[in-house]
Amino acid sequence: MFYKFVLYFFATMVLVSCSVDAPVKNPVNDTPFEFLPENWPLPKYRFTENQISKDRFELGRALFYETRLSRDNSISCAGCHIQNYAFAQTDHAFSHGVDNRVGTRNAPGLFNLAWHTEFMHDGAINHIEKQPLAPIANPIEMDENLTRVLEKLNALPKYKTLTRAAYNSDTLTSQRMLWAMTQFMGLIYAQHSKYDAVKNNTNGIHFTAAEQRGYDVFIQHCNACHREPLFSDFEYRSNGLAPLPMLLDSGRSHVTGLSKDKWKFKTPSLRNVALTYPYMHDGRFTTLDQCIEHYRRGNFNHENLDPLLKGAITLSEGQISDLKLFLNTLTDYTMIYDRRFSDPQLQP
Amino acid sequence: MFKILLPISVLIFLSCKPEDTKPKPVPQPEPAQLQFSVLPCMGSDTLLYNTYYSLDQGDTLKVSKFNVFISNIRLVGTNATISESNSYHLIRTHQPNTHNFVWTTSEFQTYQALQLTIGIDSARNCSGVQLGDLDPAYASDMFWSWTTGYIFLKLEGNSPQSKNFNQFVEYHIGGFSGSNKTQKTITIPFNSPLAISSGTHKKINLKLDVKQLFNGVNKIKISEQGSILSIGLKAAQFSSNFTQLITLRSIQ
Repeated sequence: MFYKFVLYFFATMVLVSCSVDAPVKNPVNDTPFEFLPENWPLPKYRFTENQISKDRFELGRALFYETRLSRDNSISCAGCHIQNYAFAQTDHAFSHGVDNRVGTRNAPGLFNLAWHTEFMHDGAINHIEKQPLAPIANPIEMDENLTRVLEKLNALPKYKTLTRAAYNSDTLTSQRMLWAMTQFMGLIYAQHSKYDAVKNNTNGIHFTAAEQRGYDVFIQHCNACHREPLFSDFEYRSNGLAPLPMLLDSGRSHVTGLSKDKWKFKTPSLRNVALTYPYMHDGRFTTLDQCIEHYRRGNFNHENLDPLLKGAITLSEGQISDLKLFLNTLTDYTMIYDRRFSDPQLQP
Repeated sequence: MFKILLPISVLIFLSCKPEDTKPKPVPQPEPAQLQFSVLPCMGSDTLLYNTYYSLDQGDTLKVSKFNVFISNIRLVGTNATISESNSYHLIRTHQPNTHNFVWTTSEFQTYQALQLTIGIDSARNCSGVQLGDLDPAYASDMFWSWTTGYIFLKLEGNSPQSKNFNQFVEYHIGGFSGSNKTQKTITIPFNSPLAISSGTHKKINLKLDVKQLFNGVNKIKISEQGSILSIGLKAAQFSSNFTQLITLRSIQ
């Protein structure tokens, strides 16, 4: 039941032997982008209408690094989603917006987004193409409106050139802009970690004994929610964090209006977790030790606590050490150094 | 194989016909045009901005903004129901050019009723970036960017009965799934059947009545509920009043 699903893009030519469903093709040069590992599910977003092309990807890349998306032209997506940190933000718990405004949630890493059906910690956004509209409009983030963004960008020769290449038209519209951004964001894959190499039986790559023990701990205690191979089940759960009194962020219930969803947040992927500190939706923990300690302490008395977290998770110091070593195997150094995802203005 | 043979045999059959029995050229049917015209009203009056109106519950309301999405327009006949394609119309009452739209159809039938949805179906709320009236740039004031979903109806104004700051009245009604669903499909029967044939031009005049929002199944008192700004129970209750929001004035 394993699929070999291939996304075409602009790397080298590879023979497609047994892809299920129509592979996503690049109409420009018909060359493949990446293999997906065999044990992965099919992505939820399939680029069927929004057909992948190098030019659209490049337009999306320019937009991702474009500060004109913000009201005072100061902040781009990349301001809070930094490639070196798996497109998350380190250093501060909350994102910084225009006019020194401070957000209320921690910026998550961006990768494998084509497998998500809902976005944000509370799943408020139900489609990847509409996702950028939220930070653009949010007064504590970019505080800009889409019509003005399009006016600003359409006034620049740079975007006329990029848009013409991508869409054979000089005018950037909201759909063209968001499709291009979706190509950039949706093609950032975290799938080249040591964990993946071990799983794919790549020659000569094995877990160390400690990493293997850590993997066993992970499977026993963490995998129910942070499920392989994407390391999230994409469900909303309360993990026992007491709400911060200043924020009282009700999470998922803010979206659904249902009290049973109060204090629930989407299970974050643990891929690249070594890079995406600080942790939790509010960035309250700065180290993995603090996160693991939270679950080890357990015995939460918490409304809507996830049933899987009743009691405490018993872990020895040695097991914690092993678990951390395993979690470090989830870092994808290929992705964070991939020049295709970096700021096009900084290219050599 | 059969697929290829069939047209060939038809061709042979046609070519064998004697000259004089060839059918005379039939005039091409001309598509029918249905022009929809929505008249914003406050009860029996045409809606004016900056004018206080008395509502039936005794409240007073001055409207400063009233936008509504109507969608999935259908004509229901005994034999067939036809649907306008890409049927999404954002009516902004302060922009008269949004009050009119034309549906061109070549489905010639007789129809007994008009069907339409106040709001937007769940599918379009959950799909990718749309064009036309659903374009998030065009409909920016009718689209929640912090949570995906269109605002189906937006009514803003002032009322002395409002307990909000500056006596504001604000109803932003949306929510498209489960118990939060606010889109309502309504059926408006015609007084006499509407026959559509080649070249028919009909003007369907609709009335969009603000008063009905306060007078439906749930009586809305501005003093008790002067603002609804998110999805949930209150919005769902408010939307039950959508059923009489649009009525038929006349067909010309």
